[in-house]
Amino acid sequence: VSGDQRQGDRTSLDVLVERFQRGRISRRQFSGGLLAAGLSLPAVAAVLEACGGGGGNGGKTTLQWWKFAADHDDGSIRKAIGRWNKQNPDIQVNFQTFPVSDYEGAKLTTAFASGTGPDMFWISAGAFLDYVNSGVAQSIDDLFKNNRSQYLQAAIDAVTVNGKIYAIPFEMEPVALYYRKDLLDKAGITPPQTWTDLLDAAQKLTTGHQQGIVIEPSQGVYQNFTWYPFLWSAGGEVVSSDWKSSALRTPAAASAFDLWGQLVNKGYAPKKTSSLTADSGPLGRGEAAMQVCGFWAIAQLKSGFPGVPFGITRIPVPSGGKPVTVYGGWRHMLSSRSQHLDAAKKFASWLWMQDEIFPKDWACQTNTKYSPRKPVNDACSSVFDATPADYFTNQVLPTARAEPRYPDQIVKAVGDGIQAAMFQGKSGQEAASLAADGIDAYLKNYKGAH
Amino acid sequence: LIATLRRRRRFRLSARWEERLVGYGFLVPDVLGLLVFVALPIVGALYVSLHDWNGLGPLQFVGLDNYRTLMTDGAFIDSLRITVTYVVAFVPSMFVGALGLALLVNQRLRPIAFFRASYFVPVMLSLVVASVIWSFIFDEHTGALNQILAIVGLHGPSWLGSTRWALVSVVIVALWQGVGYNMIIFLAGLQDIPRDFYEAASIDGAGAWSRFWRITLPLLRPSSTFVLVTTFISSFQVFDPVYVLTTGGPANATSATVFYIYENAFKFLRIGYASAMAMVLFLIVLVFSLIQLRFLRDQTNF
Repeated sequence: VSGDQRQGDRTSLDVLVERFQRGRISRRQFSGGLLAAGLSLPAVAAVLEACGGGGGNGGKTTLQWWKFAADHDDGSIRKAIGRWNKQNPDIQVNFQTFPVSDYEGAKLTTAFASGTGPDMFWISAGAFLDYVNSGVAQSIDDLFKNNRSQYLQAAIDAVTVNGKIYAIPFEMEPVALYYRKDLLDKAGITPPQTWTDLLDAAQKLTTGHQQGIVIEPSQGVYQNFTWYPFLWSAGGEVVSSDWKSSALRTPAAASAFDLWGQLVNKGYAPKKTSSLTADSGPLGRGEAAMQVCGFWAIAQLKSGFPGVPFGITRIPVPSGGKPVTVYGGWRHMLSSRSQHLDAAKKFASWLWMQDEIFPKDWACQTNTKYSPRKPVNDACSSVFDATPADYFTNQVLPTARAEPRYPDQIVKAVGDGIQAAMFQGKSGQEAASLAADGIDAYLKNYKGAH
Repeated sequence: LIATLRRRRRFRLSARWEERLVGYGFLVPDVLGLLVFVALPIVGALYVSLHDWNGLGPLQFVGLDNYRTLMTDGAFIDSLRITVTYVVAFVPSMFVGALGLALLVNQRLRPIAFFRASYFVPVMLSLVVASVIWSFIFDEHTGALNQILAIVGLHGPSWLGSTRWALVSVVIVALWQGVGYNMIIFLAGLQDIPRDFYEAASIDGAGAWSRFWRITLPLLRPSSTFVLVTTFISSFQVFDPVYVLTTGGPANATSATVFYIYENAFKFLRIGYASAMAMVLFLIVLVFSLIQLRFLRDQTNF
């Protein structure tokens, strides 16, 4: 999960029009795509769009790189590709983006199913194992031969299966609790450090149309992502270490479900938000006094709500718990079905490991995202060590675990538990066992790696 | 073609055959389109439904396993229950709403044209766009709906954040977007009813109410059949407003069958299983549509 998922909310239509204008597709393909978009069947549109690809061109190698669309930073990728294409006339990279809502499911999967998948693509934590288990992911240990020590061990572990590395990690966005300094001061409250503090503060800060806190109310990957720190800090885990069964049938896990249930049921947190709460708008607009959000919110708040005084604190812990949080980020994967694997490896390692410009640009110029590679973060120290990012650098990042790579059915089961606690008045224990049942049923037949 | 055939005496066709040939000739493009874009995918889905397939690896034949699984899949059965609830709420509201609006805008007054057009405007929006707009209207604190309710002293719920109201919200949006289309169908039907019938009835002393029940409604039967059957089929396939407004939530309260199928196919990558569910839904819709057509078969040719 990443702040980007908020950005790329463009429709298939936007993409279609853009591709038509750039001459990427013919008029006929455009009409076909338009027709499909009109039917508002994303799957049909995806199929039609896929028909537009392909075509070899002589001795020159053309690599296809796919990614979801994100207006604010795709330009920086295009710039880097432009530099590469100029220096490497024999290996040209073609970059294509798709609306984020269609990207992994309707787009990437159907493309691989019909044999038109790209040479490289970005993959989320939730889809990572699917691609490894089905053999689409290419192991790329050789890329890390000379620079393994530069990488954070946890980030490498997150992309390693049975001792082999299957993707390049390149960004880390940890989660914390943001708050409005002015609203907390007015209510005479200090930033909450424990769950008791949190409930107390949320209650006092809920007045009229102002919510005490924003946590993600809608079921999905992002909700789980932002809930894991609460689970972990209570000492809970989602699955057992051997992936044979759920580990949620514990009082610790129950307490984390219960906490989120209480925040909503007592009216401190909204039951529904108009956009994903990766968007820090509710805090910026003063609709809420606290919000659970990621590293990206610093940039959002500074540019979207200049002058609004906000503070950051670690995710509160239950009494006796130790601070822990989660970080998200996409991973760069190469396809084992690529006809140009060596070229793809060459490009990917140039982009993320050798180039002096792009990794730094990605981490702290176009974005603010930690790199799992130390030299990049060192080059970015002027940004990461400045207030308020330094709080993340010194207090939050050291406690962050990588987003777990649970397949979507486990994500769904955990989400069913959170939703039951939030919207069906279930106790933490009932919610935990509902989630555990779903996970056990799935793991019973699961044969893949973990 | 016909002309050449005619010139050769041996192939002279009777007028009846000639008419048939021309008729089928006109049907060919449509039938071809249906075969390629409708029948073929259905056969394809049937084939995939007998396999275990994650879209990335090879297909593995599993026979009827997927169909066995779905009979014990609580979430699938829940999704059918939610879909049926939706259909039961949506189809009658759509029928009454569209007919009511058609009767209103069937008046021969100048300003009526404006209302006719405005009721039809939402039809030109895609359901996705309509859903996005309504998601703002439904907001608990800042949404227009609750602010209007507040004027009359009512405290509106969190429409999309409550297991009770979320499905109602989906019905409202789909109704708002689709009612204008069926209104036009009814309007066309209404204007086909000869005026003399009403005049004769008035002379016989029939009131407005009995003119509606005894003339309007029976003579609207072809339009009614069309509206009922198409609304019924499309409401069984409700997806767009669910996807945009609630993503199946809260707590799966709006996870209608097509949404659950989508989730299985494109999120869980259980494409074989999703195809099996799609086949079952297809059968359900087919059976109900045939029953409906049988009951509503046009008996009022005049």
